[in-house]
Amino acid sequence: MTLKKLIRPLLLGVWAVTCFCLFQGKFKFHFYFIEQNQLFLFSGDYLSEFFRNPAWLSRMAGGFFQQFYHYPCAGAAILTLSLLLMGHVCMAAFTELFPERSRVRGWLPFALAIICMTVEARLYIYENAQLSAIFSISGGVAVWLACDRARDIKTKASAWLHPAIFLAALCACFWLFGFGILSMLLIELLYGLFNRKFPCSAMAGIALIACAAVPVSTRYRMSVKDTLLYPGPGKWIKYEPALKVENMLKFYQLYCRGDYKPVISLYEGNPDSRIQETSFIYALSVSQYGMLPDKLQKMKQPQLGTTIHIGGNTPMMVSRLMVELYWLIGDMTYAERVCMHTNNFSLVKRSAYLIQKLAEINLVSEDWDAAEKYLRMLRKSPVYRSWARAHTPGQMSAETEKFLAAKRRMLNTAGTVRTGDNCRTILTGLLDSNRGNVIALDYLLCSDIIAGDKDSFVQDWRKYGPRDKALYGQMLEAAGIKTKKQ
Amino acid sequence: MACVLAVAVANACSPAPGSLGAAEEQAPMYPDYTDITIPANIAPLNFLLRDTDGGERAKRIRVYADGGKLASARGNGVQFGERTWKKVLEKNVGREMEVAVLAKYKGGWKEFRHFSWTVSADRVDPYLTYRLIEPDYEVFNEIVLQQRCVENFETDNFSDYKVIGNKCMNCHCYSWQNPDTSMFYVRGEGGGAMLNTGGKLRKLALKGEGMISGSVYFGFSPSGRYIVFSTNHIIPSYHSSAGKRMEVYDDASDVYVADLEENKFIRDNRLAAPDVLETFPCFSPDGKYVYYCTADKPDTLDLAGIEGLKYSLCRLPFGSLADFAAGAAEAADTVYNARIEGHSVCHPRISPDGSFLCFSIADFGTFPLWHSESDLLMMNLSDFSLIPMTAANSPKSDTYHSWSSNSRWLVFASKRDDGVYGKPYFTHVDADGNCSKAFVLPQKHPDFYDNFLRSYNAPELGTGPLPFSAFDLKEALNSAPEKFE
Repeated sequence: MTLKKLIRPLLLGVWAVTCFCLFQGKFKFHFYFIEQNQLFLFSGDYLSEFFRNPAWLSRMAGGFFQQFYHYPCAGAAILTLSLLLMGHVCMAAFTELFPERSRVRGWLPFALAIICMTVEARLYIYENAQLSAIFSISGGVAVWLACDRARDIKTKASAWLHPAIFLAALCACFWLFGFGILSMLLIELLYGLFNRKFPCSAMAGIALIACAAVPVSTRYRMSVKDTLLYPGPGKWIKYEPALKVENMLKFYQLYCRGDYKPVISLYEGNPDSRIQETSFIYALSVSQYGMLPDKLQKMKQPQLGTTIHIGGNTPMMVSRLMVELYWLIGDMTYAERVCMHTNNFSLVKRSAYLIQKLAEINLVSEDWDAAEKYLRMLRKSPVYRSWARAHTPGQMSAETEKFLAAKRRMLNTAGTVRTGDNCRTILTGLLDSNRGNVIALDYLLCSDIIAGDKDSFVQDWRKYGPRDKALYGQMLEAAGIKTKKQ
Repeated sequence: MACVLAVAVANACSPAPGSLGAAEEQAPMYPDYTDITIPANIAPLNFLLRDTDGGERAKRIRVYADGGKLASARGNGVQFGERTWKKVLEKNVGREMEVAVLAKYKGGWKEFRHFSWTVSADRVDPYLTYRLIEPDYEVFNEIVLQQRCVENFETDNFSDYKVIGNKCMNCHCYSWQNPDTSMFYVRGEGGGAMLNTGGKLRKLALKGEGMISGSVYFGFSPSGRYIVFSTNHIIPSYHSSAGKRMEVYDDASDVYVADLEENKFIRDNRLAAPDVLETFPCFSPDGKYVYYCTADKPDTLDLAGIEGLKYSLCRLPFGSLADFAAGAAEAADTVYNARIEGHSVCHPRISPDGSFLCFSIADFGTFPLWHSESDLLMMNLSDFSLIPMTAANSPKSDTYHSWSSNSRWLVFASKRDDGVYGKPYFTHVDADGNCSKAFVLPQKHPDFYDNFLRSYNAPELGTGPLPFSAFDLKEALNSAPEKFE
């Protein structure tokens, strides 16, 4: 094989390796987050839902492959392969645009395909990115290629046959790939332009879209713009903000996996990463080791979450962190409430992570029927099946049972009602039930300190303490109270 | 060809009911459709067989009705053919069918204990409306009001966030199952009480001077001219003990009547007493009475106070209301005394024939949806005797019911499966007020409810489809609200 023949595969290989390394190196936590925001089920009912909207094939394929983002390196690998597939289809289509003997027929399609792949890769850098976008474009172009083959059919009716095939394919393309029709239409237009022919098929297609856009969008109850762009080509986010989101997602993912020590060292070793959300996660992490009062002063913008109220406008990450806070301190009523709320506001309202959490919350509350509801769903996912089985009553490991029993001991056992999500009420309620809930005590006392409320601190320390920590000692001293040590 | 042959051989090899010996084990059927009474016009009762305790899944299922094969399916789910289903049901109206389910597992075929389907000649109203919402009712997102034809699986969102925007919407209620007169609310900016009269939508501002809120719970008079409604100051709260979840109560509530023709309110102090809570009003089908629930306002609204909040069921002659009979002040009749009976009454609904009154009872309070002990109870209005609804009730919350126009079916929201997500259940009510075992609204896919993460809220039966669409609603929302005096 000559070097000339090797150069394009080599360039493609370099592009693929660069793409993989960029996404794996810089945005791998985006993939975990994307995966956590959906739950792909192997169920007839779930799969039938895809048919209720256009682009069922690209959305189904996207959802199917996205579930494997759960595994290390899989996200970057799947994305790179999907982009390569898109590039391959695009290159084949671009090649057809130019006359057979054209000089540019080799290099220009290749370069255009690389540009398309790069642009689409760039549009993928955001936390709600969907693989379906890439499949929609690939599908649209592939349908155009199939239509292009129909041009070879030479009959007396050729003049109208191709436009007719093209229009039928356009409808099928919308059904299968949604906004992929735009890529199909664009290539058909370019084909006419480059081959100096009147693009009658493309014009017919544009006319069809113009006529059908309103009734179709009414049928799907979307705006015309949303219908034509469904399921969405991706989003252009500036690189620096995207990196900041990645950093936040890194903290969040590590915390969710139980990697508390890496979170602590990441926060302490990287002053630039200290924002409200990471401070929140840092506080959650150090609390796991009873070190919240020791580390409170290290936090740049202390955020314990104890002043946050959940509502319709609460940012997604904040409400996710509130789930973690309530779970950590042991209030399962609020943990469940915020978990449901967060799931309700998540992208497809079926977040794998939050459904796992709902199952765990109900296992702690010993609401077996509710827990089984969520476990049953998780058992329909190949990725979560083993987790669900390991959390099914009767099949749990001793370690899981021990963990759940420990959480149960933290529950609020007093019968009362709370009219809001005032965290002070929640924390004192938990401490009234269980004086040994050190995490709740630290959150209560540290919240008093952050609020600068000395009186409440002293009152809480006296009621629920003592707790021997240097910071608490300093606070008591400042309030003129001597501890036993002094 | 080979495939067809294989299927034919497989069919030929499946055993007939009764050929496998005594079938004692109950089918692990979900939803539980065993030994129920069903209307002849209900959609196919598609179901699945849960995996065995050993985790084994059925590979094939055969369903026989009175010995004839009704369905044959691969996998663990059965979806009946709609035509066959309808034919079989029509053929068996008024009869009890014996149903046999056979399933093939790894070890071979297994026959389960036979059960019955009694096909009632009483047809259920073909349309059901409800709200689909996540069970955390406090904050809403992307909710819809939907109507479903219970004779098949067709649905339509007559109020849809995609069309009218992400607004809160709730409580669609027909005027006595009549689709040409109904009302529901769209909350928030530009919202109001949306009154449907023959497809024409009117936006009403049902909040008068001195009222504590806009209208909340309501019921139509038989003519559709009046609605009786409650105004409530609703407090959502959360139980501290895990598993009990939400408690919703009123710290103030009153009842009023609105004349929808004259656009005026009818007020009566007996329905809006200052230290009494009045709520859940409805008309009797002859229009002579207004029924409502009432409780003394507790001194404190801590848990002890809320637990003492027990609503009685009372009624007042409609004609005795102040605007009709000046100076009339006869006391309300107490139909069900909460202090004596020990339960709190919610959602009284009278059958269209006026024979029975069905209501929810809970240990206390005004929001039985989250009370696992809440049940339905029937009252015979000829002598006010109570008829237990044991066959229809479950150990979890059973509440918010609606009658069919022929007074023979009730639909209600039950959380019997998981305690969290409400689903519409149907029960047949005979001429004596006795009800049958309840069954859940059938779905096209048998595993629909397993995957569904929303509650069916406030199910209501109607005799036909609603004559307006979500787009009509969008247009109506742009109009100025009609004021009431």
